[in-house]
Amino acid sequence: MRLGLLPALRGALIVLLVLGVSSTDARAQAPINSNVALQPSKGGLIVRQQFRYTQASFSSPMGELDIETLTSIWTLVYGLSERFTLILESPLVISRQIDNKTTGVGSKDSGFGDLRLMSKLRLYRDDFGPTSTARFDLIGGVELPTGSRKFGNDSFDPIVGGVYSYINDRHGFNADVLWKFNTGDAASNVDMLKYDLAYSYRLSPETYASQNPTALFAGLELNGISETNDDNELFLSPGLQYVTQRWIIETTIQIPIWQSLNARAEREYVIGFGLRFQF
Amino acid sequence: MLKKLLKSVPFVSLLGVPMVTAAGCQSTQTVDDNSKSISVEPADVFTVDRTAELWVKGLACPFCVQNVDKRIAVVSGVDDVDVDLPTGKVRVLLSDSRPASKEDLVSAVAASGFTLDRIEMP
Repeated sequence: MRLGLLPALRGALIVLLVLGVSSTDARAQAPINSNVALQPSKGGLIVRQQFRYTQASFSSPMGELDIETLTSIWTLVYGLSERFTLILESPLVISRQIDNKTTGVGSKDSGFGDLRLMSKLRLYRDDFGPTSTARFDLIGGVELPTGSRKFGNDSFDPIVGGVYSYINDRHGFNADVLWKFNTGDAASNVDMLKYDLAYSYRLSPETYASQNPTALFAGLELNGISETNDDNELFLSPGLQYVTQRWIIETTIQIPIWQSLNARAEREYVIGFGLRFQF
Repeated sequence: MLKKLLKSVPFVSLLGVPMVTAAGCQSTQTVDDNSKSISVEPADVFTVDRTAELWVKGLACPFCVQNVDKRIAVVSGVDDVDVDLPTGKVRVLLSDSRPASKEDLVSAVAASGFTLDRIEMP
């Protein structure tokens, strides 16, 4: 039996599923859910695959909804020059299960979200040690109306922002701010501020090996969003990353520590797992 | 005991298949017909007269190593590259015939997005 969705509810669920995705970055010593001011070298290509499981709930006029979503996000990162990078991100909702706990009615669906074409331009770089650097990048791009009706917006939405990274051997700090202009119709015309603070620590090794170095990083992030409809969310996100010269494996859990929501579904937790490959 | 087991497996004793250690890694020894161990440890190819040394800064993690490695390896006149992450020291083995120039190596590091601290040519 299909669950009919009111237009307003549909908008809320799109916001939940597509805009709440992780960072567009694919570099190492990079937080999992935030951006980083590191870029591939000229001609360098990084492919990132993430899987995200989200458990959420939403109080609608139709009843209490329980929402489980599994999303796959492909990200391609290509270095056009040593200071300018193109990023293409493609979200796919593998499965979204909505159960109305009030009526017992449920539905399941899937589909593509909107593609994001982003870029990063490095404005500042200070490499102050063999394994230490401070950098600032401008971020700009657009979310394209390429997704399915259920999981995408019908407008070209510009995104602008910046990211600062400070990495001093075992310690890494990242801060980013992004603003998304929603150019869609009035019903869904909500702009979004995304902001992140992240710290990562190299658990092992204390000193890198000279040959085939690898590393295990622990990270702690604060990931926030604030929308012009007064919806606000802030997540605490611990994570782990194992980094080699060619690939990275990583996992994270995002736990809400502050939520003030009207239109957006309330995420209870998000579990992320990902891989990155460098070519 | 392990050698005996390996030699009992067809082809292993014939082909001199590298031994596998308890940790699962390949050792640098082979099993020959006389059960003698012969070291095949490769010699360091970075000879003084053909090796340029560069010191690079800003390598934030193991992923960064490949950026530098790849950019220098594709330079014409480079035979081999070795990046030492903890020190940022990069050894570049130059070709015998038409070795890469200092300018080529400086450009390659610049294209990798990291800072060249200093360079010493052979």
